[in-house]
Amino acid sequence: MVFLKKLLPLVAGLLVCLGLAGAFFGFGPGLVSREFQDGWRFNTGQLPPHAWIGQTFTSRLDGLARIDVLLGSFGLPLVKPLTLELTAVDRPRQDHLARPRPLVDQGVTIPLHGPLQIGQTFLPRRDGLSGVRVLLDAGSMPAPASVRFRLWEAGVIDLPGELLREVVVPAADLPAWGFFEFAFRPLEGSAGRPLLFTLDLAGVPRHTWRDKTFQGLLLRFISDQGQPDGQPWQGVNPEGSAWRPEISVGKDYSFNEPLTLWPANRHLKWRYWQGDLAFGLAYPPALEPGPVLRRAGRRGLAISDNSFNSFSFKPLEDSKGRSFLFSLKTTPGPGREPVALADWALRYPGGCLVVDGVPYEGGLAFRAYNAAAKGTVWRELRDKVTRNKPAPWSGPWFIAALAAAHLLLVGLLVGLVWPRA
Amino acid sequence: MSLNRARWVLAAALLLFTVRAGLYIQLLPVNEMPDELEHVRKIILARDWPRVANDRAAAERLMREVSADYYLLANRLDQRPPLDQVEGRVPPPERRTAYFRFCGWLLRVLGVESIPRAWYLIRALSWLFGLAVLLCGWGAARSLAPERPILAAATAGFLALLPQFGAMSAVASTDKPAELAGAVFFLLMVRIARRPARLAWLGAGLIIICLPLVKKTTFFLVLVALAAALPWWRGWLGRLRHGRLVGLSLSALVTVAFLGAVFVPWGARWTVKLAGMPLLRIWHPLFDDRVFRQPGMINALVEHVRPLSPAFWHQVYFNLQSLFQSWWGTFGFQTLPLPAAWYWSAWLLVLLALAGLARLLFRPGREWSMEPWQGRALGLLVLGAGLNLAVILTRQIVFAPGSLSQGRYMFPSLVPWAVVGCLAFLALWPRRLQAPALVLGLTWLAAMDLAGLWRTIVPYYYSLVL
Repeated sequence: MVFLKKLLPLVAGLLVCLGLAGAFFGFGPGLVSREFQDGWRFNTGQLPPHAWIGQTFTSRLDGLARIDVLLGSFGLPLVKPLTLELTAVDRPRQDHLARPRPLVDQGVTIPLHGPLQIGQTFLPRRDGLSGVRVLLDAGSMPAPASVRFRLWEAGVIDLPGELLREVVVPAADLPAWGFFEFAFRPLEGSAGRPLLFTLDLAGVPRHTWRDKTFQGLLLRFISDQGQPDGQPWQGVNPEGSAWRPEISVGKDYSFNEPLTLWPANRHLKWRYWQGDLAFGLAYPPALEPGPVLRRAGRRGLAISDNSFNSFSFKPLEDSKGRSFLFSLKTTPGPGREPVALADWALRYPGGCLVVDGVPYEGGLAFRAYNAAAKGTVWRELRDKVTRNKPAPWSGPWFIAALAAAHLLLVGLLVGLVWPRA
Repeated sequence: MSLNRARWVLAAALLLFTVRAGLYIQLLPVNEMPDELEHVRKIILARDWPRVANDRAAAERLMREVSADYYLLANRLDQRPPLDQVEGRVPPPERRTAYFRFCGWLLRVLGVESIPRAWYLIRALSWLFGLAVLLCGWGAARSLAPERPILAAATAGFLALLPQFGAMSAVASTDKPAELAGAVFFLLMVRIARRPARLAWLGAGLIIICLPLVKKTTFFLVLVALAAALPWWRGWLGRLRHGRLVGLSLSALVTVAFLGAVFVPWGARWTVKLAGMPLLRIWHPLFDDRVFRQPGMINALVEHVRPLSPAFWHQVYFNLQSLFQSWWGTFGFQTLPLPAAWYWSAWLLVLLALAGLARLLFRPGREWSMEPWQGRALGLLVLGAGLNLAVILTRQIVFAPGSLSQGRYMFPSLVPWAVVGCLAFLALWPRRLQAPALVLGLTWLAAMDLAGLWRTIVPYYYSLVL
């Protein structure tokens, strides 16, 4: 009995060692990833309940079993749960990809107030333009006010062309800070057509202008000249620029430029800024997800910020050579929506970013894993970690010896600390 | 736990730390912890400095060789790229601190010519620094509570398994000498609190004098040394005939030194040299470019600390969060955190330790009552840990607004955090439950470490899951 009691710490240590070995090396299949993308990361915006974001890819191996996606919660401890759905698609990449717009915190906030108009020229890549999403803050707008959105032909140099669409939205329906989509009837033949949208206010009570807390409608402007303490945003939108009428009275602190006020009886001159409003374009869906092949969820508390988050599912045996689309949707729950992080360069040749069914230039930061035999994974790891390294780290069995010694020593440490009778 | 068993735990912890450092050295690709390539550049430059000091072309060629070997080691290319296609920027010679000079000298003495071999040798040297810190942690815990070997065993086990410390002990980093300086210093502080010995004071004094050669993240140790000297100072003044007069004179001297650092150009310039920026920005040509082109500490404090602004507290929250996570384990350039569940469970452990600390402070009972010197030593450790935290948060929020704090900046006070944390954690449990609680805590930490190595680093850098 005494002998058995003396053995207990040793047995406990061994059990801990075996338990950790089983948890980290024993259970589940080995996985290898051949499809991945992780470059410069930009914020694709929070995922509202009705929206989805995804990525197409082609699997080079059988046994597709897990997809990791880089997600951000921007420090929030709790975000809404996410569901990943995997569907098959015919073509992983389409022609005429839309250009994504980064939701960035850089740039300056500019107020739209009085009878001022602010606008942006742009060149849609696809037909059927159906809306423009603008980053705005209507937090200080009075209830009876509304915002008028107008879509024009871009015109020549300083004058807008034909009015194409007009949308008026009550200020109460606009977000305190976020993208709002000014949706309109799809515009056929929009691909390659220079367009301009303008925003202005209506119905703001006169007494509001005297209220010092009233800031107007706030928009975000990203200068391609660069901020005083930042990098220039060259090429944010090379196909257009921000636009506003220019009348000089006083100074605008945001731009160190003339403050713009609208005189009723003066001729207007239009002026282009070197930079862009934070905005994006909306099109009708071109890529509808088919039947769901696999579905996996992740609870809000388990979503890691600025990190690859795994969605595991039962391996898809015949995945080799097939093209897939995975889409992410938020499901109801406490907290705000998480954000998927993407690369806006088209680095991954086997697919592209898809937002609400519209294929975009760029791609989500993701990794698709396929099931593989443990031995294959170990051999691949050994080859990768010993390559070009000096001795002893170039030894083929060194890493296996270290890994085994690691587990044994953890067991020994626990055994030594284990309470004695 | 007997002392003999605690010593066995120490031996196992040292071995375990060695194996873990070996794994991190193997699995962490080169330059995937902060600024490693830059550090290696400076070390190689220091190694060959006698040869290239007066030969700009040779220095540039040497830096190109470092770049080429970096691409090969990082597996970015199949073969070493031609030297004319890689960067050859030579770091400014004045930036070669004591760490770079020491490593360069060591490589010269050992005759290590190959850059890849030198790189991995420097990584192995970081493991030695880490081992020394672990031994200091053991020593500090033994000195603080000689009647409780379990505290020393817990501290050694904790330091042997902390993921971020393991990762930092596997790369070329200027944080290693800062960690060691802090670890030795706090060991000496505990010894001084127990029995003020001249040798311990001499050692602490030497460390304080050498701090400008180590890293600015260690400057807070000066304040801890002053706090440790306070009882001795009071006693000495009390024994003097005109003690009160001497005390007042020295207070006046400190005030004059402060005013001199602010208002005398020479003093302000020296402050810039030592602390990175002047205390107060003064717009006068006499204070030269170095002073008046910089914000000034007091100016920056006034400008950036806005207690009524939610944005300020948001930034504080972000910094505390990034500091907490990267103290436990965040790899890469703050780009590779562990899965969120590990940080949640780390918070649980911290809450348990805080509850234990509350018990230790307010309801110690007979079991946890301490001698006065133990209280002083514990106070010095807590002061050191708190000062380091305050300095890092202030630096990141006020002087580098928009940046995030990194856990490695807190590693000069790793020994206080480990000793006080383990003591507080153990104090929560009755004596018979201390060992089981420690078993659970160490097993959790070992699992966190394994998750870092095999579930975070390997999938991210090698696209494999074992």
